[in-house]
Amino acid sequence: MGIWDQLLQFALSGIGIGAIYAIVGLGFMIIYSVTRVVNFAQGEFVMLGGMITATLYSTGVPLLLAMLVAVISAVLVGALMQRGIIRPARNASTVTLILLTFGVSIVIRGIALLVWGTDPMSFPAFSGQTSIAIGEAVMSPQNLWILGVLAVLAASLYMFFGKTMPGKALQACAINKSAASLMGISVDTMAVLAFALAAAMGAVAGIVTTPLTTTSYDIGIPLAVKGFVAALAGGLNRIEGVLVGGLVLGVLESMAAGLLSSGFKDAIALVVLILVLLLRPGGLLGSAESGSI
Amino acid sequence: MTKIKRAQLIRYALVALLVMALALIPQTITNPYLLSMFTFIGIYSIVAIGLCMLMGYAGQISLGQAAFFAIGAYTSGVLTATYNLDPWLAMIAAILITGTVAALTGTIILRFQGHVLAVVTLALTIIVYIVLVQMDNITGGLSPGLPGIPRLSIGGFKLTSDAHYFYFAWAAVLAILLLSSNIVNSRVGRALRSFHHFYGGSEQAAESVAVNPSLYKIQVFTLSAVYASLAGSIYAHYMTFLNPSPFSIFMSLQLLVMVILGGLRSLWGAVLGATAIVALGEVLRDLVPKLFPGAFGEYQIIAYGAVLIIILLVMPEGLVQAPQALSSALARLTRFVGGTSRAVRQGRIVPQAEEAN
Amino acid sequence: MKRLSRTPVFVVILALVMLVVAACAPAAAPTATPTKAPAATTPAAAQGQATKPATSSTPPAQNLAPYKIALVTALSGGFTGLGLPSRDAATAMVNEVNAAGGINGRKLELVIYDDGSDETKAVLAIKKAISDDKVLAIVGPTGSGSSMAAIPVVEEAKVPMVTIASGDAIVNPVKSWVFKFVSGEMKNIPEQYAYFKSKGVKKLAYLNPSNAVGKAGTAFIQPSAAKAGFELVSEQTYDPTDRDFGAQLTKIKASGAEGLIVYDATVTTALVAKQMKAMGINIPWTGPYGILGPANVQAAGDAFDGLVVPAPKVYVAGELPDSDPQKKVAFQFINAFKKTTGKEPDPVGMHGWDGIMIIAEALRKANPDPTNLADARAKVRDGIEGLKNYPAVVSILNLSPTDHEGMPPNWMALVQVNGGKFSVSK
Repeated sequence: MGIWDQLLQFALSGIGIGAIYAIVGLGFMIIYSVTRVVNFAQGEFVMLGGMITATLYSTGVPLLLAMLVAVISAVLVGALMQRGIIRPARNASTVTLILLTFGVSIVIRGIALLVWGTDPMSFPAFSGQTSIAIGEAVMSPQNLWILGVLAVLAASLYMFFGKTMPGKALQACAINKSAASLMGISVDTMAVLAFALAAAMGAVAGIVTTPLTTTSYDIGIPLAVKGFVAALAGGLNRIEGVLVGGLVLGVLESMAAGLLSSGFKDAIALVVLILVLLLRPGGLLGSAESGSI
Repeated sequence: MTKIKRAQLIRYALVALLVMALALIPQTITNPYLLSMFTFIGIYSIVAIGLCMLMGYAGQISLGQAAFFAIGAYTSGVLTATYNLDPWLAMIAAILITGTVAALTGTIILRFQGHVLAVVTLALTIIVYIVLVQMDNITGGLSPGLPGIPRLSIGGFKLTSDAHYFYFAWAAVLAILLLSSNIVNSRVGRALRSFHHFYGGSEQAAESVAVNPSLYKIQVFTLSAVYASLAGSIYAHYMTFLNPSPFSIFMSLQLLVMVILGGLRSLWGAVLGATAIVALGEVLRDLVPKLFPGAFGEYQIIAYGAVLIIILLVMPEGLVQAPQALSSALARLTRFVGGTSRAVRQGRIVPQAEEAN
Repeated sequence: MKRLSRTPVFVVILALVMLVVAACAPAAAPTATPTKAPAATTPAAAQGQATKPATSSTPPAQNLAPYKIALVTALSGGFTGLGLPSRDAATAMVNEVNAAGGINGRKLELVIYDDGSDETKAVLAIKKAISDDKVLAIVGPTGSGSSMAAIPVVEEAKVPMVTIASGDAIVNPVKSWVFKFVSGEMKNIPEQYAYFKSKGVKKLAYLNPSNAVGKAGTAFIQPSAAKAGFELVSEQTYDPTDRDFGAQLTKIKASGAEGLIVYDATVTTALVAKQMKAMGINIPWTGPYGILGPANVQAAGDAFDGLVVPAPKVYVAGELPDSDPQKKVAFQFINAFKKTTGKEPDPVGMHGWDGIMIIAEALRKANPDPTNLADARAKVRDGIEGLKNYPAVVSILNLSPTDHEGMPPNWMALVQVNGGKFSVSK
């Protein structure tokens, strides 16, 4: 392989990883922008999406129906989490709320361990295993699916926030809670909506990535950390910020692994991201003041 | 003034009582397992007190304490095991190195706030962990690790048993509590509180009375790192073996849980939180297999998370809130009517009854 | 003074908590008399005996104090996948022993502890086993780091420990109370070199994870590859949580490597195999025998086809000639595991089985009095160290004061995977 083919492969692999980070990051963005809570359980929604789909599929349920059930289940868990745990503590400090989401993530992980055990699960890729070659570099067709779903999700979020009433109401809550409340928007309902939407995003992320990466009860926290770092570096208050952040983190890791050192790749990527944040505190594309989506 | 003196007197009397309790524990408990558990609680408490100061009094979150804990442990471990340096000199070197690293990184990263600071400090933990794993020619990495760290000795007396390390760790906890509460009550402490929103202050307000918030923040950050380093050194000499895995992001998260669960309003909350988390883990590890034979980790994990959620829901400001939560519950019972407002019950407005006496 | 005036309350609470604990402790953990704790108090024993009621064939078993052994293994945390088969296999072994009347008329009692895949928890569990439950010997812990951390504790307390971790540093140099019957990098990798030589491989690469097993592999390969006659053309690493290895595999592909070592036992190997296939890397590759775990094989699907791994003979037990002394023990293990769990065994559970079996063998020979703890522990240690030509599931063992691993050379089988099934590679 020539150096250009290698570089191309690093880039393709990086985009593949980065798309996963970005799709996880979108869920963070929704909850954070509406409620100011960093939801540690976001990774667990990703896990649930993959696990439920794989379980149903293995019992003979058609894949599409299995996916639908998985997304709905995650939405219910997300809404329940907001109603049962976040809402009763809404007057607590932000860090207490974050730790509550951490507690929820531990409980969900424990239940997943109880139900599914430690073994990884998967289901077939949407359009086969034959990889697509570009020069000497290759990419899995599932990576294209992930990129496509990411684009569709991002576009529909734009539409949702820009064109629909609930979307606009959510955005109003994100900008100014008390003003939104004065305008007759139920901030409470909006918070439930945000958690449900984020859970759906997470579940979709889990569903599209599982054929590529498999899933198991403990994938949540590492994915959540990467997804959140990516969203933050890109700009936690803009959809395109999250997209760019995810892709940049993925490509950085891949390039660092290929060109510098595979052992230090995560450290290198993190140092670069801290430098980015020092130069642009709001993230690559974000504005310093947070609020709008 | 007399009020203050009386409160001070009571405080000292109670500290003396605690010292007595601590001194008596190894006399009563000769069981190495329990002594060992309390020693770990002491070690974690030292780190947690630093984090509690940083969060409760300077309003800065940190998920980087595991990194400083690690730097302290590894400086002590490498200098004594590989270079045969005296453990006390190594401990001082560890404090100096960790303090320098913290002061330098603090200068750079403390301009961040809130969740950005949380993520940047989390990144610090990840980076230090990766360095410890990958630079295995110095640290021993994950395999074989760093064995052969010598025991501490005080003037020719070698600390070998669990009881020795129990005394040593808790002496350090008390010394640090004393030092920290003096700092908190000093001019520095008042300055810190002046810009912490928790107490109704703001950085602008602080600046207007000529307090330099960023300098104080860096100082407290460095101090918390120095505490973590000291705890790391004790850990290294107690375990006599080091491996990077205890210093991962999960340690940072666990320390945060300890501090928040204990409560930010008092330094004692950190000790309470460390005790609660370690004891909870051990009790569950013991109890769960008795209740569910054949189970593995699943019930433990669920119970741990559930207890964490319940405590935070009932006492959003942590276990230090327990007396108030209790007394307000009692008050509600005795007064029969809803004499205390909803806000009080939820712990948002804290009754300041103590001030009256 | 707002905050401070509240301090005393917490001091009181803390002091009270500690005093209560201090007061309760002697009652909770009697230390004065060597106890004959009733079997039902320990969950594991209760569980073990639920399947095998106390109506044993030899009546004296009820009257004599049992032999207590601790199993410290990962039931939570990252090594749970390794810990569970060891627990099931160890429980199966104890059931077998007790069903056959115990040892010298005494029952074997297994006390199971979760090491949480964490060093401080493992150390606490081992201290509890030694001082609270007064066990004669310990099997475990699961991780190399936990085992290294446990060494100072068992050496000081003088309790024999048979680890179920693989890291060779645990028994090199030899520690007097520590044994390891898990084949580590020093035994596995030379066998892998031999396999590559038979395939005519000259240029070698490795792709190892940043976990204890992977780093141990890397530390062994780096200085030894050249001596073994290989040119090390690409040295790559990945984080255990990574799910994409495109960059590393690209470097390996570009390096012209003819053989690849992936020194990892986790399910990540299945993803590496899949991506190698996707990138068209068709060179011979191998790894430690933990790679053959059922979860890995299932997750990899056809990506493991053609994989050849030097491994203990139990992986191909069905193909062993009847004359092989290990065939019998291998099938004992497989059948007992099925009986206890109702599942096909994960062969890696053999280390839990072997640990109990070897301690039981030492007890049988020495016949110590378990109420004389120090003496009984020393006799178990001496008994293990004195084993010669002992057929364990992992290997025939020959121990000595200078070798606490006891595995002879050339004891592995070359196992080939095809369609998820194992066979001897020809």
